[in-house]
Amino acid sequence: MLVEWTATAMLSFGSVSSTAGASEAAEAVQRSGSEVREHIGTANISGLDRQTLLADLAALASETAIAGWDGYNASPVQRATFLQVRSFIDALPLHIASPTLAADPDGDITLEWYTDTAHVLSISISSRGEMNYAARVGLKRVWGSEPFIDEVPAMLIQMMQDCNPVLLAP
Amino acid sequence: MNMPLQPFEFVARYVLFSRWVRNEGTIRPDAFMPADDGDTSVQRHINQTEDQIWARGAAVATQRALTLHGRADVQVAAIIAQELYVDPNEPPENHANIRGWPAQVEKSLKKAKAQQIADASTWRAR
Repeated sequence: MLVEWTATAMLSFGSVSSTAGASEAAEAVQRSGSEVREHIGTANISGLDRQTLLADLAALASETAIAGWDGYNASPVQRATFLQVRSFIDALPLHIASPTLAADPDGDITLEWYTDTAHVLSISISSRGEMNYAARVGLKRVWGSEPFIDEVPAMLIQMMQDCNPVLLAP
Repeated sequence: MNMPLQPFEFVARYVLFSRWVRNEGTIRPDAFMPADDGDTSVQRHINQTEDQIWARGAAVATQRALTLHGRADVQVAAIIAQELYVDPNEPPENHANIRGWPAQVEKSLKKAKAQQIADASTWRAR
């Protein structure tokens, strides 16, 4: 919410400056406002939208309930997996961008933070709470496994921010 | 005929699950991850026309009562580069499987490989 307010305030400031005359300072502020507007066009400014994410998780449940949901041999996603992902979402800090949800053919749920193919983090969560992740951050490729026990490891949170930064994150 | 695949060949992964395609028209690694049987099913382009490739995907979709959203095309060389291989597996005609995936205990390594294959693939919407 703070992030949204700050972005809105900066936009308003930019538009006020557009009528402020031709001084160098006013022009600089106007340019700054334009740059912010351009950046906001592509950046995530709202952080974690938990309600929307949980609604999407419910939709994913119905889409993957039957074996072969992918048109091949996919295993159905189990209720235990949804409960693990729900707990994982609850454990995410609010300044993190919302991931997009999908599923692996083995029945794990995947959460992806994506800006482009050079900034992408994918985490698969299993019914037993295993987190298997793979990321590309710039030229660096990283993969590994962690158990999910109530908290999201700081290293993964950092990668979420690196792969899909929220504008003006606290 | 089960002819061995060549690195220059292309294979298609039909996408019948819309969440595997990002809004910008790129493919998530999930699309190339193997099922529990250890295989990722693909269709060879070789000796097929564009219409025949689509027709095969449409047949799969009809058989499964799902929607064919499109396909991800990738060169076999990009799969071999991940130390995987593609085995011909007919019938149906031109069907093949991506094999040689790491064991399930190394799932994160599977994801890393699938991520690179997905990056090398081209999305073609139906």
